Amino acid sequence: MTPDETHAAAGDAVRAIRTEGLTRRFGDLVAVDRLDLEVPRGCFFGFLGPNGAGKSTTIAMLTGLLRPSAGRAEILGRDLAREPLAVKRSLGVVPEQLALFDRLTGPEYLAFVARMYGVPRREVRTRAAELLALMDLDGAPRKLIVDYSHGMKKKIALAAALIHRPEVLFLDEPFEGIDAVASREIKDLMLQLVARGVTIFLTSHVLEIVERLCTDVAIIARGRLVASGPMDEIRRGGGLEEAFLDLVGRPETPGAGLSWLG
Amino acid sequence: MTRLLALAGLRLRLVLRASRGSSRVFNVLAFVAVAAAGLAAACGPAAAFGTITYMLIEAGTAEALDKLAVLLRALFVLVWVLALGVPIATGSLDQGFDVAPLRVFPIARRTLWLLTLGAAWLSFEHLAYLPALLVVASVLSATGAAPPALAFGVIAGTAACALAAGHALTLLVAGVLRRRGLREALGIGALLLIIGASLLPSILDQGGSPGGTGLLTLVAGTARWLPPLLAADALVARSPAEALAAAGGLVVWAVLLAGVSWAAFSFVHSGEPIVRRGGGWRRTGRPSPGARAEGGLARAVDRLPGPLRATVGKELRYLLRSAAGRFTLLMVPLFTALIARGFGTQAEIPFVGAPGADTLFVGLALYVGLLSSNWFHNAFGWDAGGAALWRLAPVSPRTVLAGKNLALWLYDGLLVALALLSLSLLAGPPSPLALLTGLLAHATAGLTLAATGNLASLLFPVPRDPSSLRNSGSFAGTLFGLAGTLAGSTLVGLALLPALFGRPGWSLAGLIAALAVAGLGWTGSLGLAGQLFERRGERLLAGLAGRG
Ligand SMILES: Nc1ncnc2c1ncn2[C@@H]1O[C@H](COP(=O)(O)OP(=O)(O)OP(=O)(O)O)[C@@H](O)[C@H]1O
Ligand SMILES: [Mg+2]
Repeated sequence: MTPDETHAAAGDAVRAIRTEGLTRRFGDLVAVDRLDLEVPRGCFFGFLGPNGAGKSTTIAMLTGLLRPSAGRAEILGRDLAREPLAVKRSLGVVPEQLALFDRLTGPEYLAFVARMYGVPRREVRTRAAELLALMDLDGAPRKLIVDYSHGMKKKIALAAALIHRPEVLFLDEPFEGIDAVASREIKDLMLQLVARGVTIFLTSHVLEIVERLCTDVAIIARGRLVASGPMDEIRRGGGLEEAFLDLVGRPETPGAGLSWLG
Repeated sequence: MTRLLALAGLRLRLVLRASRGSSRVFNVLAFVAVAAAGLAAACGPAAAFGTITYMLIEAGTAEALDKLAVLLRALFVLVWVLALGVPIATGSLDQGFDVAPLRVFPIARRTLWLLTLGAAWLSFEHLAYLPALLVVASVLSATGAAPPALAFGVIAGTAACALAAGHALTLLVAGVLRRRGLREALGIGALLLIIGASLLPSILDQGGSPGGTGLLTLVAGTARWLPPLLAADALVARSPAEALAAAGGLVVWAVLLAGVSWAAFSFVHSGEPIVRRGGGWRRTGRPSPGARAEGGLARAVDRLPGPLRATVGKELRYLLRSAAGRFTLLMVPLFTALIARGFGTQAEIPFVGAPGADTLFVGLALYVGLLSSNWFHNAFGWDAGGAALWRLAPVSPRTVLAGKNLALWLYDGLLVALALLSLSLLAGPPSPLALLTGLLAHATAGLTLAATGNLASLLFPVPRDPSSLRNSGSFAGTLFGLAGTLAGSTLVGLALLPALFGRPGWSLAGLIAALAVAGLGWTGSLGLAGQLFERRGERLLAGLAGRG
């Protein structure tokens, strides 16, 4: 480690993710607006917001899929723009639009991803086998991913995000479409990971899950950060749902239907 | 009618919105360029056919009219060769317009069928012969050699027959390739065809024997009732009755072929095979030849280092699991066999084989490389959403592109090997010198295609479905492909010149130099493409997600 790196590591020992004025525009639309975010290391972070708030865009910028229009992001003390490869090596990602090579079988895909992340050769097989068993995907080893069900695809993407033992895990709606049994196992697995020091950055619209799992939350609306901090601080004694609705706004005319439905 | 209009509007909008921004402008320009080049290429022969027709009619002698009959027969045979041969030879068989997503709507199958027919009609092979047909029909009616109604009716009938037949063929191949059992039947059928095709000339060669002559007469007699000759006969008929009979025959054919096309459409679009889930590809029981090749190649790749190996392995699997990749694998030996038989027997060489096989091998080694042009020039097209992984994973873009190139070269090598095998069996093996020349030429072409391909892949990505036989890229990508092909064939052509003047040794040296030049070009393009990937990665992903 160079002195520089030691310094950086020491300075950011407690921060997994830090953004400064992170902004992304799509034409005239500001999808993410000057986002300043700090995610402590080893925390289970819930990133919440209504549809179109800019959650997935933020994750895409933090994982190198999208370039920020302005601002910067640091992960584990490393600047994402300056050291993309080093940062990416320590990340695991389940993007919103699962990035899957669906003409491979599950085991082939896991082996492929493992090699891309430089997992030692002799470990690839064991890790893949264990992950497939955990996700209950080991029943049809020759099935192409394109023939998987929606939830199975989510699970294989999650397995692929874990295979290289990432230090920071980005999960965009990981529970959407997952059955109750698997969902339970995945939640347990996530808690284990966090206990071992992995940082998880999670978006979900199921506030009960977030409330039960996460230690910290941030809420974003129309690209702007509206609240951020430890779970108890955000809840202020009440439930997360109430706090969320208070912060992002409630439906204006509750019960208004479609005029032509009669 | 409302629905048909809505569908036409959808199609138009899909075409117009296929790309956005600067690449849209470029694509439109490229489309115009390709269309203009195609039009020019089609108009030359059209003018030639028209002029000769006019001269023969003006001459008016019995001999000239005989020649006219021969000319027209040649023209109509050419039409059919184009309509059926082009999709097969380019390996780009497809329904053209994928109607699968439309099946959720309450639209009659008949409407969908008409829609695919219309889309098929706009393909290269049908547009290519149209000018010639129209010019000849105009000349015939203007000079009074044939009534205008008859002349243009015959043209319309021919176009309808060729369209329906081509449509049915592409549909059937697409359907058959999705059903494993039928695919194997096709393989066997192809084998029988090769054997039959290779035996037929030698039977006909015994010209003097009564059996041979009898067969020839039989073949000629049957051919008269096929659409191309019927069309020609209708136009040069000596009496109205003859003309009507021939034209009537053509109408019967048109109805028949339309029926076949309808049946093929119903067959392919009934239930399973249209469902794009790759289900048809699941391997059960005995591994197919493709699967075996897959295993062998994948094992060979296992020696490469980490990410490169992973990339090459993934790419090879994609190639060998895609409909287009598999079809090419089937088509190359078959096509080689047909060529080898055709040339090997017609060439007036006392010892059948040796020199013919040499030239053929060099030519095939080059041609086979071109078949992969679309894969080179749209390298990310088949990855679809998966392409995001190339940006998420800690790999350099150069590794990804090099891996993709390497996989294609291996695949191409397999194609060359298949062509060589087929050629050696039917026309004798090529000489070692020709083998070396062919391989060097192939390698040079492969490097130049990869060089232009890496750039085009990043600039003009087009999403492609692996279970579709269609593998063409965007128009701009096609232009890059043409440039790559041109560069490669110029290099190889220059190097081969000395051989024409009896200096094969010089040619060999030239080819090695050409290979080095192509290698430099490839390295340069890899560096450039790496930078492009960093800068345009976002747009690449957007393009592949259909938001380009
Ligand atoms: N590639 C893009 N081009 C143009 N606009 C985009 C693009 N991606 C996202 N947007 C816009 O940016 C805004 C934020 O989108 P984003 O996907 O980040 O929302 P989200 O918070 O993830 O919503 P959801 O909960 O529905 O997933 C939206 O208005 C969306 O339309
Ligand atoms: Mg989202």
